Amino acid sequence: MRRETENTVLFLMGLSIGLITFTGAFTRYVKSALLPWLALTAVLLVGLALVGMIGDIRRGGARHDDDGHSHRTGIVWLLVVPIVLLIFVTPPPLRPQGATRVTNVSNDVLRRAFPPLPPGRAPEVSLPEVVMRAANDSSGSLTNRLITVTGFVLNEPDGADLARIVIICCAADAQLARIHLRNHDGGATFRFADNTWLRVEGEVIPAVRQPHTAPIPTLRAVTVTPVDAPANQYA
Amino acid sequence: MIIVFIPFQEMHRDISGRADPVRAARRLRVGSMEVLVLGLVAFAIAGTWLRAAVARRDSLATAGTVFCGVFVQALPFLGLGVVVSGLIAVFLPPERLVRWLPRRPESAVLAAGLAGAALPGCECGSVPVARRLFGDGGVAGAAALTFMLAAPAVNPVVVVATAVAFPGQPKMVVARVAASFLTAVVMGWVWSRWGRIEWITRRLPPNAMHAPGTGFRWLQFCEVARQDFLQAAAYLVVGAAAAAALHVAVPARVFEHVGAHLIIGVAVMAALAVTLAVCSEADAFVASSLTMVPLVPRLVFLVVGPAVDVKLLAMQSGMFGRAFAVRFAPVTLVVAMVVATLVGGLLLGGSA
Repeated sequence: MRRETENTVLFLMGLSIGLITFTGAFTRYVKSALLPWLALTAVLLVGLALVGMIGDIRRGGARHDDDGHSHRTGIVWLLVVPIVLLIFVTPPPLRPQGATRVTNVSNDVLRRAFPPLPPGRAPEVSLPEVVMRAANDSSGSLTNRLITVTGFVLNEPDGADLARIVIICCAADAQLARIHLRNHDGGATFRFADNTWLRVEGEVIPAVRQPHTAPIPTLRAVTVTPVDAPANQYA
Repeated sequence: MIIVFIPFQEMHRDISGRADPVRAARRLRVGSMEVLVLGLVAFAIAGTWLRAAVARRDSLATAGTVFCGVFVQALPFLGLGVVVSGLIAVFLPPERLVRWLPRRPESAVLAAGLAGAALPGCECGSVPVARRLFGDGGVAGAAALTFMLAAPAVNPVVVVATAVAFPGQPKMVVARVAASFLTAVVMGWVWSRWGRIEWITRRLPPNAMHAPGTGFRWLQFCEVARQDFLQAAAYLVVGAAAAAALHVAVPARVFEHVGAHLIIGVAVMAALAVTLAVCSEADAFVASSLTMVPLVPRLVFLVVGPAVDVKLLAMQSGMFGRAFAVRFAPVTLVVAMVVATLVGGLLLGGSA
């Protein structure tokens, strides 16, 4: 690959990172906390590319053999793959099929007193936190408490589940957190299509603790409202 | 797996100088720029269709998202890495480092290991640096090799990346640092005891760097950072693609098997580290994504990866000579596997 092309690839790489950072599409792939770092990386790459281009123009054309370093660079073509993926294809957020079907580790080491829930009639609690609290909270903050949970529907043979994909670091380590969605009598009467996003108010009934499987708590719904998918679909 | 070996051959051929892509491109009259522009236009036109096609197929969508996840997550770390390696290449000439080395080989190797730990860098950057440090062998030779193994594996950027990738598992970070450092030091000692200078068949061009003038130095910095980034990011694409393919193609059962048997697990993860050739600043994220594998084999992956992989084999045979690479890399592989397994067994125990 020629030097001009390398600089163009570098420029486009920076541009594509800048683009997904600007449009928010990066939350499909990594934690949203990475935002400032991605922005800096985009600036760095575009900067390096521009310095390279401007330097070549000033010298009146690119040098073709640099410092005898003999880094021949056919391999650089591979960088076109992420550029095309990030700019043109933008793969969608993971769906539950892509997530490892394991929820949070639950052993007694994790069992501790969680801080109390926020005040209010039905405070918003994230779905993975509900799972964590139901399994590990020794202070019973969820007992007899109305909360609001948002997630998507996952239909199982014995009734609908409310689920959320959790990423620790990036999309490669995605895991599925889920709770059973039942009506206030405990019946599985809800009928929604898979992947419908719901905002549910209800009370959580923790599952019986078993040694080797992660317990799945049950949410007894009071009100169920279909909502739009959130911008950041991971929790 | 085939993809992984193409760059190896290509790079080797190019280093030995038998192919001349520039001349070939001129003869064809279609330069890489034209190919790039045409390709991008084609993708832009096909974009909507591509997006729909990917979104329709679950496995394709998952692979694409996992690929972007690994790549995008690793990129800021890679950016930081090339900035620091550029700064070192320009403002801290290797000759100055050599002057600080102790005289005795044993302590020189230890000092080089510590120096490597303090200096962030990618393995791709550390091979040329080590070759310059190596000079004509002697005490500096063993120290240079230790530096080459320690710098990419044990440094602040990698430590932070590992801590981020394995949240709540500080022992993983400690075990990685300990095992990689030990591997580097052991290999330095092995070289000073059994290494032979006639295996080194390749010589560096005379050192043309370090011209005076601050403005020029900054341009040089940009040039080093730019080169390092292009190389490293390209190999990262290979690694991320392999990780994505593994995610979709390999059923979780296989990894359960890997988990069940320690020796098989260690062997499989070491083979994976050699063939994936992920950059050391990114491999922690690949390892943390393999959630079905227990920690000790994943530690082996993290220790072997920065020390031996296909792209390093190519770079080492290019800069030191083939006779060197075919001896050094396999020994390093064995030492890294044994050390990582022992340290892992000691620190991480039987915990999954």
